[in-house]
Amino acid sequence: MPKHLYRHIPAGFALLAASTAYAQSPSFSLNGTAGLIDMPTAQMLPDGETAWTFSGSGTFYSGTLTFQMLPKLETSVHFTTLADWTAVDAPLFVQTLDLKYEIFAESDYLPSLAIGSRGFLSNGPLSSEYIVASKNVGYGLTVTGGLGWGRLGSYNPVASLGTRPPVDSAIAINHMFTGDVALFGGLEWDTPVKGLSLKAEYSSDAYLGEQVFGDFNRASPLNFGIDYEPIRGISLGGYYNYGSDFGLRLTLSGNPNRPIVPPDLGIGPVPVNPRLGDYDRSEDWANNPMLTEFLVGALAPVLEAEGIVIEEALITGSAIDLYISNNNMPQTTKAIGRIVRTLSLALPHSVEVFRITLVASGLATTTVEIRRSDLEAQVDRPNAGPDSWATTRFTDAPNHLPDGAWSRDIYPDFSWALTPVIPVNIGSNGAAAGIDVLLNATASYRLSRGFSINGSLSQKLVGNIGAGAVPSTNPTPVRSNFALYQTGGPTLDRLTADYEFKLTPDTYARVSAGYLERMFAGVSGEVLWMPTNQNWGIGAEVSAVQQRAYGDMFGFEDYQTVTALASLYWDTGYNGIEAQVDVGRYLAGDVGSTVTLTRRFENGWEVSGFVTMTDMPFADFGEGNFAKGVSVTIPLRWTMPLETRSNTSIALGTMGGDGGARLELGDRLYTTIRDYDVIDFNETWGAFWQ
Amino acid sequence: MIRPILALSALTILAACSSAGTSPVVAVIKGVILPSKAEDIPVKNAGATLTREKIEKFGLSLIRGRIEGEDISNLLTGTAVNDQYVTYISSFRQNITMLGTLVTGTRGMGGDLLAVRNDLSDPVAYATPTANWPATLTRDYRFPGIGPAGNTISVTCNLTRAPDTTVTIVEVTYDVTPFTEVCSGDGAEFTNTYLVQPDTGQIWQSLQWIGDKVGYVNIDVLEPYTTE
Repeated sequence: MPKHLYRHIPAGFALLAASTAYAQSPSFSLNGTAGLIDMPTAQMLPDGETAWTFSGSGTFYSGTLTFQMLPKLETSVHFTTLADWTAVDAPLFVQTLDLKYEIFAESDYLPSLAIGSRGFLSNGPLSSEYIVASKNVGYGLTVTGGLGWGRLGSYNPVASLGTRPPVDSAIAINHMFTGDVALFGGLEWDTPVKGLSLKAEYSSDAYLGEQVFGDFNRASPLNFGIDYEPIRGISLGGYYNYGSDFGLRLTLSGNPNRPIVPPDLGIGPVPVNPRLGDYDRSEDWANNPMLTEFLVGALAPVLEAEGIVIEEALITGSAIDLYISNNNMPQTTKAIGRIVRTLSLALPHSVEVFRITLVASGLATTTVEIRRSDLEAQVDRPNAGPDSWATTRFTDAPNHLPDGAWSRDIYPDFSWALTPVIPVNIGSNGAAAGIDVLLNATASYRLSRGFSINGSLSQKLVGNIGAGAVPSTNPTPVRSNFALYQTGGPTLDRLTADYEFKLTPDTYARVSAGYLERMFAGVSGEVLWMPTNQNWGIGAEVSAVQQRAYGDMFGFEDYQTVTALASLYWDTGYNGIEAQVDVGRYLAGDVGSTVTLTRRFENGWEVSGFVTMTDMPFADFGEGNFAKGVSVTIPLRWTMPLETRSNTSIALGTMGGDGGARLELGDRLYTTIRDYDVIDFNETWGAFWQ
Repeated sequence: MIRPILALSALTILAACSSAGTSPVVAVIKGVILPSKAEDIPVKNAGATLTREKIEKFGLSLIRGRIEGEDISNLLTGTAVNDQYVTYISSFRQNITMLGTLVTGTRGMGGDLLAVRNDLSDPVAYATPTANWPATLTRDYRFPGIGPAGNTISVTCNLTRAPDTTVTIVEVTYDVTPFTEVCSGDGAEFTNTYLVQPDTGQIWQSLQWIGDKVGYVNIDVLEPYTTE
């Protein structure tokens, strides 16, 4: 069964290439992790470091996403094609997850020590485990030595710990740290030439499979390499391996904690001036029937200059309620701070209570209530942050203000966008790598705050994905025929009517109908219960869909199904990590579960990985017997000096897998509202005073 | 010379508001924002011909700020007073908040300093004749970070004086005592400098650390804030 990688790389990804001040950090190995050439080191990348590596040699080519998930935990996902695994010109495509944990860091006298697993959770063709130590001995020289099992224990073993099971892609852990053990090691010299390092290593990988089934000749255990990082974020490597082979590596890296442009370059907030003790408390001015219209007319242009739009408003002599959309500021709390500062400057003195409700994609989320006297008493003070957090109230908002409130009269509202998209098919069983350049047009016609019609159309400009595609032999090819959809275009990716609303102040709902995505059409409904003061929520999604025709924009195939998933969302509060567990029936009718872990950074970076296991037979599921994928979202503000909520997403996953396949819908409810609960407000409350 | 609300930022806001004739509501808004005009500011660009006469005629508290390492200075006008904290704003809406002459907050300058906690004996925050300046003091610098308190850097500072000298700021020459303040703590190390009028403790010129991202800001006090 063919299995493909399918990635969308928006043009903004090129911005990653921009450089910042240079500082040396551990270099990358041929497989995209911190390491020597083919062997690992105990070094850790900086926390949050995210690197895309494209590498290849005579035995493989691969794409890798490496993410320093925690200061002591390195994770990487590899999508590798082994060139001659079962025979010459009979490649094998494998997906693997690597983990490396730092047991202790390097000190003056002791090396750093790490334990790691390549091909975690399966004893596949790349699986191995290791314990490794690294020490900088001065003069830029780092020495590494370690013990390896599995592939890393396959050459010149020095001991054996039991019997390692045969290679098998099934999920397992009983193979770990079993079988032959071999020594490996190497040197890395960080030369005086900035960014240039030289490497040499002794490899404990015998490359048995490549030699038995392919024409690879492992003439030597010694590898040599040269790494060059001309500017921060771009790294190149060239290697001479095993006395017969050459390898090349390109790594693009970034770090959410190291923005390309300095943050906080936007204009400062308006000042807060306290009302004097004898201020006018009269509310007579509020009797004017045109009051709200006048005030909103005065406030709206001021707030819109900061990307804040007033959706609804209700003003009395003592309080103001504003429903607002924040279109630019990456941190909602900053927008709230800007609003209440403006209100304190502009509103009559008798208005004491400011209630701001954040509207996201037409849904009212959380109401933030701030007293003006608290604001005046806290601004500029040393404890303004904690004090303001303590005096601010957060409640679930009704979806609309009461009848009679002022409402923004802009509907129907039409918006559109044109975006270049570059899908890449890195590998499949025997298929050549492919790349397309598409032009994607999206449009939204919003008839009211919650109801909209949305469309998306793509036209291939150039590329070769889909060329020579043949139908899948899988019994339920819900995704494995994806290449057949790459007809060149135009292709209708989406044409839906969407309605988002609230059942209760803490329960959100969505209904979508139409051509939901490129491969399926039908009706989809979703409900999410998530009170704002709670760090977890429960959702459910049910969709009745029919597979769309491969070459016909509006036609259908015969396959119909009902897919239903229940979801648990949990914001752990630990290092920005969120967890999601989905359980239910997937597109192919298989039943199972998906676990997704996401680390979200304060500045909008987001790195996510998922694993899906279902009851689909392994023979149909394909390599690895379970689905997995990763994605990185990078805020545009990280790369450009703009106040914007726009971002760039890069996904790497099993687009061509039938097991555990879900509908590819637009933003689901949790994604829409997750920035607006108390947990997120707490994490970003420092921005309130920015 | 208190005129507590006056800044180009406020004028910008006012210009964006619609004028609805004699509406009492709009009048209220206008009443809150002082009716100053942009041309009241003596010069918009510190590189222009700034004279003492213009400063005096302006009649408002005024500082000149420059990020260390950059060539361009900006004039910032005292715009808001909260307790003893005065916020100065430039025509580009860069904010500097000061307690006395201690910079306790910056906005829109490339890396915000949220707030500073200082000792009650801090002579930079409270004008103190140089004879009474302490040898050491402590401060907490607060920057954006996870959680309401953000990231706090607590430092201890040692003050040393140098021989008296003079400094000229826009045609006025002051006799001053230079002080060097070496601070360290929580992984941060920086050195501030102050030129202080010995008898009043008024700091006329200073170079102050405002965080790792920006470094230092150079402050010239052109017209100090007073409560009279």
